Amino acid sequence: MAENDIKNMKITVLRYRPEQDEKPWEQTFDVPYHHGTSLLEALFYIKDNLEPSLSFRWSCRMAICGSCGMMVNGVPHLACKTFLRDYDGQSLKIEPLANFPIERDLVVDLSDLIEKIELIKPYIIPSKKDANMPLNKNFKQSPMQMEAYLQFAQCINCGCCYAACPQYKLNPEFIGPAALTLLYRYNTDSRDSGTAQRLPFLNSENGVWGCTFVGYCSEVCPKQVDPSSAIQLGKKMSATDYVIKLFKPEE
Amino acid sequence: MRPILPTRSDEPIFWLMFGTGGMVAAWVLPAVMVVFILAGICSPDVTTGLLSFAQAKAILGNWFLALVLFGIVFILSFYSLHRMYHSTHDFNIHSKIFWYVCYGGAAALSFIVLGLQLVIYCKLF
Repeated sequence: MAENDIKNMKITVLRYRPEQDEKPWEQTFDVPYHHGTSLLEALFYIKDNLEPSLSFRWSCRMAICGSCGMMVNGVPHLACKTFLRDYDGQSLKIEPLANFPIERDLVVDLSDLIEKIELIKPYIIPSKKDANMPLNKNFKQSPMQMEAYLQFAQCINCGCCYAACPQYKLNPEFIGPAALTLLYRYNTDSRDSGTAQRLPFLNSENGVWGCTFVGYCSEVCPKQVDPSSAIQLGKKMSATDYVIKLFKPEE
Repeated sequence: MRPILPTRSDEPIFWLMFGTGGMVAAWVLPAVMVVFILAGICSPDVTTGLLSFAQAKAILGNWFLALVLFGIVFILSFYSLHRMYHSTHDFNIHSKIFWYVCYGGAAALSFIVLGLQLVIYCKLF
């Protein structure tokens, strides 16, 4: 396919307008595309030319903001990072992210994900001695100490891993891939002293132990964060803590 | 924010056995199998050869070898049945019965093997 060839693709979008529709329904559009057309641009085309009422979330258009997660032929993807050329000769079926309640069209209610991320305290909790450190001083960290968590700090909270996770689908109480990855990320940060506050969530049945290592979260992650690896490392962290607490119980 | 902290899971015990079992299955089991398969190829006669009943009794009569073989059976039964138990969860079967079936099965298998080994070790037949 030459760079500027224009082709057409059938894109079926799941529609749901809560004030009009009893249940979601499908609407198909014929969308022209060239080599560089992303799915997000295709949705812009539909909204601008074919169906102005279509709702979807977007912001940065470059896989930084994590707003445009959606199911593309049943697989969670960022619309901005998905290109129509990769589906040449096929048709596309676009649905809102699985495992989340639909608000309108492709917009889902992500509050459960946000609540879970808040729950695990995703910020650096300094130790007592550092609590009043002047702002003009900084924490020192070696490249090796940074390496320990850097990959897991790339999460953009798009929710693709929750849409992929079979455990989250079975048990909505499961803290889930992104939040557990962030928990591990802050627990391994050398500047952080909040491990004891986060461990109860890590150690619980709905924490790392709710994961059966299916690994689909890592496959669909658009930022190569590899949440399933963070959860396995979290299991190691939790098991170590379990054994230590067997010999040194909390009072 | 949920005010009450969640309770600690006892899963680490089983997960640590699962992890150990995985290592045993990957490293120790192939070595043991190579030894037994080579023994079988080198002397295929099961009445007088290396794998005869008398030889097997002699192997299990050595407390160290018996302990190693028991360790392998014990850890591998927990390893495999742990995986099966969690697979039932993936298949949307959430009955506590399977917990007892899988871990009970692994424990029973281990005890049966231990019992047999003791019988042989004590030369009861």
